[in-house]
Amino acid sequence: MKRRILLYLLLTVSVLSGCEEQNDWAGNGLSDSSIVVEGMITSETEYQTVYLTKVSTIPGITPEVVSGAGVLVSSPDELYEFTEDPEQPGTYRSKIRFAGKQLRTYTLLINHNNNVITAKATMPVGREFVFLRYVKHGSTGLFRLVWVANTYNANRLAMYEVLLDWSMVDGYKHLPYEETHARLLYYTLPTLDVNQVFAPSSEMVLFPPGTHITEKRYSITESHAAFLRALLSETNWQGGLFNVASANLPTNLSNNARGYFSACAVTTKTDIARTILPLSKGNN
Amino acid sequence: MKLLFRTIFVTALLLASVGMLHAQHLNQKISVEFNNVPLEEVLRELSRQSGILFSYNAASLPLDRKIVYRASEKNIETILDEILKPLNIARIQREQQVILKPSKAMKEENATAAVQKYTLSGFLRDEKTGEALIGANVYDKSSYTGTTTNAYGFFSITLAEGHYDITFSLLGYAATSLALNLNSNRSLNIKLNETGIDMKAVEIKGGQDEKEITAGNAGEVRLTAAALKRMAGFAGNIDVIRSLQAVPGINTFGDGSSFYYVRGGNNDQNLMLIDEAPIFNPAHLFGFFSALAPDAIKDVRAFKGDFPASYGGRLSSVIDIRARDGNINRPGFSGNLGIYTSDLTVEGPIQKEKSSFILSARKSNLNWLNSEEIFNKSITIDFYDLNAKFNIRINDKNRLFLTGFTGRDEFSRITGSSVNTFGISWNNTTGTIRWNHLFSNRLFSNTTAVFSQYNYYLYISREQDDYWLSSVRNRTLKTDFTFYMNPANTIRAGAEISGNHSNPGNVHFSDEDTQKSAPVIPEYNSMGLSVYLSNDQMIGDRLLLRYGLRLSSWRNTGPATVYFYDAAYQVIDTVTVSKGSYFTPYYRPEPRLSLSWRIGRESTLTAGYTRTAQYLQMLSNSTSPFTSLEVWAPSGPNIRPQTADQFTACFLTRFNGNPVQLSVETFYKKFHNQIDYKDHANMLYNPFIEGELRFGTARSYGVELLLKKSSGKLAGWLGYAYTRILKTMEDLNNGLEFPAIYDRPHSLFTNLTWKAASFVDISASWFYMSGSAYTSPTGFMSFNGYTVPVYGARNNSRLPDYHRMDVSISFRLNKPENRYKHNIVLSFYNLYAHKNPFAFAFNKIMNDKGEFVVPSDLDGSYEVIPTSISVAGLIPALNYTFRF
Repeated sequence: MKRRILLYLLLTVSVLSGCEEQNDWAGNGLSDSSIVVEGMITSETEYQTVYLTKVSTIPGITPEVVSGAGVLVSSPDELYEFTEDPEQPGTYRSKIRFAGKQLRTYTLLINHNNNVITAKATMPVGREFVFLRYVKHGSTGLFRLVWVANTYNANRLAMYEVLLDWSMVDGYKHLPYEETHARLLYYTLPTLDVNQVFAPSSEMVLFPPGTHITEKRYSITESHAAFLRALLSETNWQGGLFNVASANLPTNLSNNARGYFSACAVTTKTDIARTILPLSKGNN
Repeated sequence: MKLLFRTIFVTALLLASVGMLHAQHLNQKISVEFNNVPLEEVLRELSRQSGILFSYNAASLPLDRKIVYRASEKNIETILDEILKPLNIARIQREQQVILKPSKAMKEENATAAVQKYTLSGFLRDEKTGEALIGANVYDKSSYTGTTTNAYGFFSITLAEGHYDITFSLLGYAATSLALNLNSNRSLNIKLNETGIDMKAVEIKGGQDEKEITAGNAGEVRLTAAALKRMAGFAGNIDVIRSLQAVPGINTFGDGSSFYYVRGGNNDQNLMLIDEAPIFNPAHLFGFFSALAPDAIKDVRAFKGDFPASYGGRLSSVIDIRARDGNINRPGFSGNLGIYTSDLTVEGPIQKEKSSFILSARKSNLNWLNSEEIFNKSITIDFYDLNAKFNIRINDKNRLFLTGFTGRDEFSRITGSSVNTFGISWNNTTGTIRWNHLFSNRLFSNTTAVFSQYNYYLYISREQDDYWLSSVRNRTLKTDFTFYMNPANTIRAGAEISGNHSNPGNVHFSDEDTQKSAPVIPEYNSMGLSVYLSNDQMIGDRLLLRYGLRLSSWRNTGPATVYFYDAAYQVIDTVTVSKGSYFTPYYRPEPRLSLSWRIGRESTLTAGYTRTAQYLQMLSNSTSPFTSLEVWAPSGPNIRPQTADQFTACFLTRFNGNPVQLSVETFYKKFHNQIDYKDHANMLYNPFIEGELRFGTARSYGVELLLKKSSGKLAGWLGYAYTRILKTMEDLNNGLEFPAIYDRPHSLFTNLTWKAASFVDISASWFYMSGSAYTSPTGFMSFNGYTVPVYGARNNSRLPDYHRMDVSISFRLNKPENRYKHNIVLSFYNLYAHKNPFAFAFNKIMNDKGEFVVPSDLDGSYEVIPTSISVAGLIPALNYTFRF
């Protein structure tokens, strides 16, 4: 029996696995000088934020920031000035806390070395949602998420942000921040993709009972959904067996800038992870 | 050149000896003995002994024909008659010389105005199985006038009244000759004996005589079942596509893929026919296996250029697979037991010599992969195919073939981090009825009715029965006529009408609310009509002219919803077409022309021009080597028919006395109305899918070399191709030309088969291709926790070069004379386990187990590791094959 399993294992390893390995990709010697804009106006009353960075030549490194830019966000009856956070260069926060309004269109204006970048975004209506589900992961005593949102719905487009914080749970209190917090994103899009259905395996995030769970639903427009679909196509869905042609992300920014400016209504729910499970299905 | 020299030499010798000839008499007596001596040497010896000079055209006489003859003190005239008459060589004495000519030529020269002609026709079949033999040569030995059998084994040749020595030959079969006096129309049923690899005669004879007939069909490749069996397939299975990969000009995508690209054409520009029925996805397990059970294959013809006018509908290639008819003489079975697949074929006569059947079934043995114990994930991989064929000889003039094929694939996966089982499933179903009818011994017809259906499922959740389904259905009625007017002209004509239905993909959700909100994608209905006329015309004995015209048309039919787009690809109008209405008709003439000029006895120079049109195309922006998205859409208001103009030139030569052939082919191809896709095109479940398309042109060009040795203990070939394919799309890549992803400039192939011992056959293949083009990042940007590649020009880089070696060793377990034949086949795909990446990824991190995964926690930094993804390492296989 063991021999048979070994044989199967060998054959299968030959066919299906061991097929991804580190690659000494050293770039192709080209560079890109465009500015990357990441801006979102939310319906939450807070200091709204716009991030400006540059394209880097190596993946995964902290990108060079864009400092000294002038950033303004306006709506038909309001104007908000943003200033650069001196402790976080490249991060521009609104001078005052404010909440974006649903169905209102916001205009972003960035001036960096007389290079003017603009974009418009309309905030769609926020919606209620069904809270996520999690299950116990094997015999570890930890939890993992099993469902956050349906990946397809032509009418209820959304991005879901799940914030997990177990820094206050006994046994984890003295661990570094990155070992007690996690931020995960999920999406409901009006599209289906093969590389989405057969996406490559993703990192499994486990969290202990007592974890504070915050789930935020960001309502998005169709064009924002198209941007997010392209983003996922280049990230979460890329690198499997069913890739599609690679391409740059679309943008609503002018003047060859990259990134996206959006306005999203936010709905939030929170919970604390409990050992009484809301779902038995899929519990292994 | 050699021929010219030989002629000059003979003539010079003749002139120098003028004065001597008077002294010679044809009635002088000599003694000679020839034992398998070529005719040329016989004439030389007779000339030496008698002093008589012979004059002849070396190209028109069978000078290499072996003579066995003995004469003691016979006069020259008698000796010449006894040697030359069976060879249909006539002689005349003109003053100082004896002129030798083929009898027929002599007859023509001496003939009066009217010469009575008769037709020799019939079928050529395998002696044991009764299978029709395709592409066999039928020719008169003395004049080299001949023809070849068609796809049903039929031949017809019309000759002047007289004595002929007709030879029937086919590679892998013992040639047979028949001397006959053609003084009336004759109908023959000839049977040839296979000289198979299982028999004692281990050397596969190359058919030395065939070379005299075949003028070198540029761009055509032919593989018989015997040839396929000798090649190393995947996992011990005969594999048509993988075998054709070893032909210059045909490239596959890579490991595990059934996609193939011919002379710069896209994958969907290839037409694959099984008994004349189109197969839309000829793959199992995403492409690791071909769709047809190995034992069901009889013959494969692949055209990569110079298509006959009878073929149409695709721009770049036609692979015409003929399934076996079934043994009409005795029942039998054959099969294969393997680790990955098993198959069984049963065949036999229904009524001996009148009708037969063949049933083939294949099933995968891969369910052991469904093991969480081993993989920590559950994978279901399963496929099967069934092939059934009935062959009914109604009478001497009518024959019926019924063919059915169905194949299905299932793949699903559930991972530890998901609750839904995702899956892909596809199935092909075809049915064909063919009716052969002989109107006369010179007019052959075949009428075919075809039904073909292809369904492709993408399961979003098998548990909830949520899936996306696309399909394409085809019904075709066609008739083809072949008129063997005379040895110099073979006229073909035909007509074809087809109805097509295509569902570009709609979803089924079990949840009613979701289903209600889901858009409905309009389906396509269309109709094609084409007619063709062509002629293969021999001009003199050196020039073969093949010319023809195919007229094709296409129109769409209601009910339909048609979206019209503006210059920015936004919908500006929607038109609803009622049932029964026609719209957007297209008409395309497709001229075909090919000129073959025989240089001497061993070489041929061919030049050709082919225009092809394609009205049905697969829309997919996938760069995966696997079958992953299948949307077939017809030409219509937004998609104009694709066309291609191909110019070819080919030089083919055989080295005298050796079974070695060299061909050099070059081509230039211009593609029009080519389809590409906007960035991140939404090709799945999109009502406005046609708005995602971008149009332009493409051009490909290349040189292909093939050195082939077709007989001997060691046989095989060496091929090289240099091919470029470049696209220009107005709205992509800033309108600049860019290479297609399947642009692989250099390809090198070798295939060797070696009869190592009487019971051991070894086959080895080595493949090399330049890396395919891909779009590599010029940088990376951070956005909301993601690391996102930034790209420059389209397809600006190349993946590493591809190479692999396949080896298979077959051990015969039975004695050659046994009826039950069985073998053990040990094969290795990718023997030295070279990893051939088909993609690079720039989005992976390494988890605690050392696996590359996509990061989920986007809070904070993570180290992205560039990775390369390949499909397969070394894949060993052990198969037991049997035949009774």
